[in-house]
Amino acid sequence: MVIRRIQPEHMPQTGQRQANEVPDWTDFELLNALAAQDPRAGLALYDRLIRIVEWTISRVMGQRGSDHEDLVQSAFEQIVDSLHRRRYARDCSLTSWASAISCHIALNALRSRRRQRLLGEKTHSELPPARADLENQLAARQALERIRGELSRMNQARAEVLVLHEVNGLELTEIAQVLGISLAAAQSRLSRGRRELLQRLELPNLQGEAS
Amino acid sequence: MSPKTQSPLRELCRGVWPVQDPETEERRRQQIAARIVVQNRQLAQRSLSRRRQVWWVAAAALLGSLSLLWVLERTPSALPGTASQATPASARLVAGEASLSQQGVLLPLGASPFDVSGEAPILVTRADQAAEVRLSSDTAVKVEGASEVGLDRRQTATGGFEEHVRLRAGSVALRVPKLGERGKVAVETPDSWIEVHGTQFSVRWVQQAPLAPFTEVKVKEGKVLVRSRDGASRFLGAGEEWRSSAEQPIAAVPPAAPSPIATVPPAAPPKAPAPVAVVPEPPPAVSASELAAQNRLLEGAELARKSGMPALALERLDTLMQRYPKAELAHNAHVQRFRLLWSMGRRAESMSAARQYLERYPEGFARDEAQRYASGAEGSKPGEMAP
Repeated sequence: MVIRRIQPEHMPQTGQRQANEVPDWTDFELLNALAAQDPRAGLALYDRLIRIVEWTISRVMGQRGSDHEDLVQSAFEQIVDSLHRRRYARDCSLTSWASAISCHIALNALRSRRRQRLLGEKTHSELPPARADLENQLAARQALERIRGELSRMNQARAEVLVLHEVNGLELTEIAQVLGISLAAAQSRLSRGRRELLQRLELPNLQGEAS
Repeated sequence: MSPKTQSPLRELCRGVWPVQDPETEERRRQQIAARIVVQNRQLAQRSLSRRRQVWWVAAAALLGSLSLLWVLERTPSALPGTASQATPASARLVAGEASLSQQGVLLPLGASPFDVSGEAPILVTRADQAAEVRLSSDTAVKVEGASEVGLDRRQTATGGFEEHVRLRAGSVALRVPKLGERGKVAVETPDSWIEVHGTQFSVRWVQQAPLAPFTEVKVKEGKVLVRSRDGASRFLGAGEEWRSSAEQPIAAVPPAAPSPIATVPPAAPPKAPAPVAVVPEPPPAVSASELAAQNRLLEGAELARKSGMPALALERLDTLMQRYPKAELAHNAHVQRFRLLWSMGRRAESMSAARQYLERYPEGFARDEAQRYASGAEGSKPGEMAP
């Protein structure tokens, strides 16, 4: 399987959006526009980051749920806040930075969802299948749910590195930059994360139990 | 990477990308972009206001520091340790009367401050005077009557100061405020050194004719360090007293007069009772305070004479003789008086005084000398004082 880096893609043009509405800024220019309170900066930032934000949240959380829009909104708020606090060191691209923040928010939401399940909330994965021909789909979905469940139980730092690398396709150097850690630490977290996930998946399904 | 771990995660990448209808997507785009702009503006404003607050606080701190420095500069006595350093070396009379002896000239002391650095003047009080002087360190020095005090203030190498009260005669009482570490006040007598660190105490230089002069220290509050000339030192607490030496006489005390009643050997036969000799009336008992006052007067007269102030010396001798006519020291005062008058060139008065002495003390120790003065033939060197 070939993993392709997620590149910013332009949203399909609509009749409401003008081609020259948002300038084609570089990351640096976009940050300057934000600092200068340019009114076009909001749209430019959205267009630049919405794909990676939505991708990360969707892949970690699964199907677009009811809280999907809230998570996207929350991710953008975090991104703007971190840019204002100058946490973005400009060593990496804005998209990498956004993917790290989105991953963090998504994993937190995943953990929160797991805790809610422990409190007895039923999910669609536990619903009995309505028809026999859906059994295969159901099994596949359950497998994905188990992976997500184990991710939510894992050490979050390792899980973040694992998702950023395996799902979002970031290089280790980029992961180190966006997380503010050393390359060796990123390598270590990735290795330990893989091992931990493997061990968890080899165990009988303990879904529903506290880890 | 193990395929077992690689594949499950990669499974997450599969799946159908949810596509929304363009209108919903555009609405969400506009909505989130607007919120980004609003949040960006709010954060910028908050950051700006926080930066302004920091600037205001910094400016206020700077202004406060400058004001404090200005106030300290203008009011040097605000802080004891630092302010004393900046005050000039001066003292001022706050109560009572006193005179300043400067190069042999006695000037009445006014309320204006006087310099106590370098060739410091000597503060003199007559027997009927007392004065309170305030030093630059806010130390109050109460000078008793018939006292002679030198005041001195100097800067130390470490930036501090030392104020010295040199007690040459009489008695002083000090009230010393808390000084900083750089300030020190000390009292110096001919044979002792009393160092002060915030206290109330008094020092008296006692010159009692038959006894060796000594220093007497009484502490009311706090603690003082006293050091005698031989190097011995000790701390005195509140209520304690100290003398630089035990009351050792300078010379042997003259032997007591033989008893008028002769002792009779036990073996001798009894005789007719001899007529009882008239026992001279013993001098009246003198209280310690009276004796001290007499001493101060006599010492003050001696100091005044040595300081080139014969009139003041004569005044003190007259005071002593008037107040304590029957005192032992009045005898000395009479002798000194006719000597002093002679040295002042008032020979007629000196002869008269010598005759008065001979009438009063026909068997006095200076009888021969008084006879020479009374006859107008000076028998001793001018200005010679009685022992």
